[in-house]
Amino acid sequence: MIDENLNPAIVEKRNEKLVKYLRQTLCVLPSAVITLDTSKVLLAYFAVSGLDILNKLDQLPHSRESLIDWIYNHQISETICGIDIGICGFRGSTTLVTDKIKNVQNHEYDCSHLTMTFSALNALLTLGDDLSRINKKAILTSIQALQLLDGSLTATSQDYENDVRFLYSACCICYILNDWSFIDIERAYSFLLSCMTYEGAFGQNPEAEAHGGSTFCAVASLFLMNKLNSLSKYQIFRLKQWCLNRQATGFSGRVNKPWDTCYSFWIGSTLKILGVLHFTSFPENINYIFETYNYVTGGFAKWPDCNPDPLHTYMGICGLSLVDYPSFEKIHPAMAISQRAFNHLKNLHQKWSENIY
Amino acid sequence: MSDSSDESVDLDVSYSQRPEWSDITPITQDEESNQICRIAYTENFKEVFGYFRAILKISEKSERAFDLTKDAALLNPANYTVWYYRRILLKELNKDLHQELEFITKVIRSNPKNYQVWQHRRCIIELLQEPDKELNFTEEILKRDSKNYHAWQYRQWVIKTFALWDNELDYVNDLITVDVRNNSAWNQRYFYLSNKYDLTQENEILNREIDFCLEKINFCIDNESSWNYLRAVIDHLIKINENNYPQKVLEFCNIKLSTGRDDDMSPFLLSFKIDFNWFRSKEMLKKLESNNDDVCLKQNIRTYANESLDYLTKLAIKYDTIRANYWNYLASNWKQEFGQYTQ
Repeated sequence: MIDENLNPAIVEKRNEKLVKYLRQTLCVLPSAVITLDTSKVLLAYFAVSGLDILNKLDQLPHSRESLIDWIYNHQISETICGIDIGICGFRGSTTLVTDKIKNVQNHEYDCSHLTMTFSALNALLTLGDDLSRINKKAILTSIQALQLLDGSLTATSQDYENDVRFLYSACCICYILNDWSFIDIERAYSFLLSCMTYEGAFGQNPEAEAHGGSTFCAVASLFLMNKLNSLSKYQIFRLKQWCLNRQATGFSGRVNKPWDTCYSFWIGSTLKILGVLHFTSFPENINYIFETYNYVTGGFAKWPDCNPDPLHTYMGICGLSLVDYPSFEKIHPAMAISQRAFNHLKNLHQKWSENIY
Repeated sequence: MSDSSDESVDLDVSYSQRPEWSDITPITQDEESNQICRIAYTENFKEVFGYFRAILKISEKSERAFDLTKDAALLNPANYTVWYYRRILLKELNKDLHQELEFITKVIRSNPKNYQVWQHRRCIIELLQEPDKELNFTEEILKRDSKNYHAWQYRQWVIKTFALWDNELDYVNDLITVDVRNNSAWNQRYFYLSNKYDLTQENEILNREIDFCLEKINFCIDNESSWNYLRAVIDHLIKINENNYPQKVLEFCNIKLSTGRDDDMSPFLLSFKIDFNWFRSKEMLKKLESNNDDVCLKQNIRTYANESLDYLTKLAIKYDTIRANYWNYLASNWKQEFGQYTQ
């Protein structure tokens, strides 16, 4: 079984099916995924970046230009009232858009979502866009407005749901736009620390149970804001041990919970950032991910014999990339995009710094 | 993904046929921007959201708008703007919040893993300031899935906001008795304890927790939940008084380790002892710096190192092979740090 997973002919065949699944995601989705209706930009990021990691960006079902334009269609660069109270950035879909002019807030309930802004930027980078149509100032001002006193951020101006997920989105955005001056890093750091639990990993908010997804968000955020070294040796030790203990065959997201494909990414990436992924068993991990592979549609599910979905498909692909699965492009563990897309970002940063003068 | 579906919204009469909506022209979704990642919307969805867009555009605060948000929320309970708008209407129209609580109760029952619905409930309770039913409600949801993250987050919020601590330890104890591996319950135990007491002071409470852990570990040794909890409690105890290392924990470990039975050789027990040995040996190494001739200290280090290397080998080749690379790495650390004392 393990050898089969690395057999070039089989790898090739499965990749073809994965490409098919990702292409489908970029075209039409069944109404069963209706709860993702406000997160289409996230779906597009998963699909585009998935194809990129498979080295199959040449098989996009739409032209790059049309995809890029479509993503920019979700950007709100201007508010109705002129001042930004966390409105600017990217919407997740055009479901509530009412006007033809899309880059201006359409009505007072039209607003961006931090995770969608992060997804849009990642998708644009993956597609090779130069981000020249991004309204940086508007997005960063929005982030500033969404940060709360405790250092956490809300996703939108409408929610008061605030947790590590949106802090992570904000850190990625600041990293991509190469400007940290609109976020209070010290407060953000102290919020993250307050999410560290007695188990040594991170929960979604203070006192919540340690969780693989939250731990990724926290560790990746600390890495991006260059604060990982502020944790004590003992904290890092417990954190590593908690993450390493998540592996059964695949990885679980919490203690005594079943393993699930997405944690091959959440925990895998965290371990990669912490420099200890090589202490896990790659073959067992690969083996589990393929137990959740759907031989008909080509996607990955959370568990064997379950329906695949775009999130688990992308997380499965990222999980495989982390453990050197053959033919896959490497990913940047904290940003969750291909190393190639990340290098493109670094080139943009270089260009931006030259253009200042 | 939620298990909600369109079936919950049964439009007996379509909006376009309703006289009370005749003055509104629905706004259709822009087709051009809907060509990528297109969801195959149902007819009901298209219709309801067509009217919802029209209402948002004019920011209409009316009874009919309020009814519309119900259909829209049921069609996609993850649409946060729908809930946001509904809350604005709730306040503006002075709606009956108890009725709303009943409504959101039903919605959560069919979408227990959706963020927005729990958020909405929280908002209603904040307005009502009546938390009486909330513990029962979360218990009902947790009965179906005792590890539902949303339900636990919500329960913690309710308890903290309204100081409902009285029965929480009993509830947690019940859950741990039913399933000793319920890590959410262990987390809740810590939540209770750390809010109720100042753990940097409470020697007695911490010692009681040690006893609790050892009993649970004795019942089920291969349970990461109880070991993680034990480590946290010990960390607090040591901080209160450095010489306060709970001897009963060591005695317990040594008894288990000495049986030689495979059933007792839990990786959590072995790694617990290895980590203990490591920190102890490091302390002794420090002492050796000031007194290099202390034979006794050297002998102790040798004992700890040999024991640890033995356990690390066993973990790598027998009891926890999936993490063999990690255990081998720890073994190399031991050899590097204390190798000179093992010869």
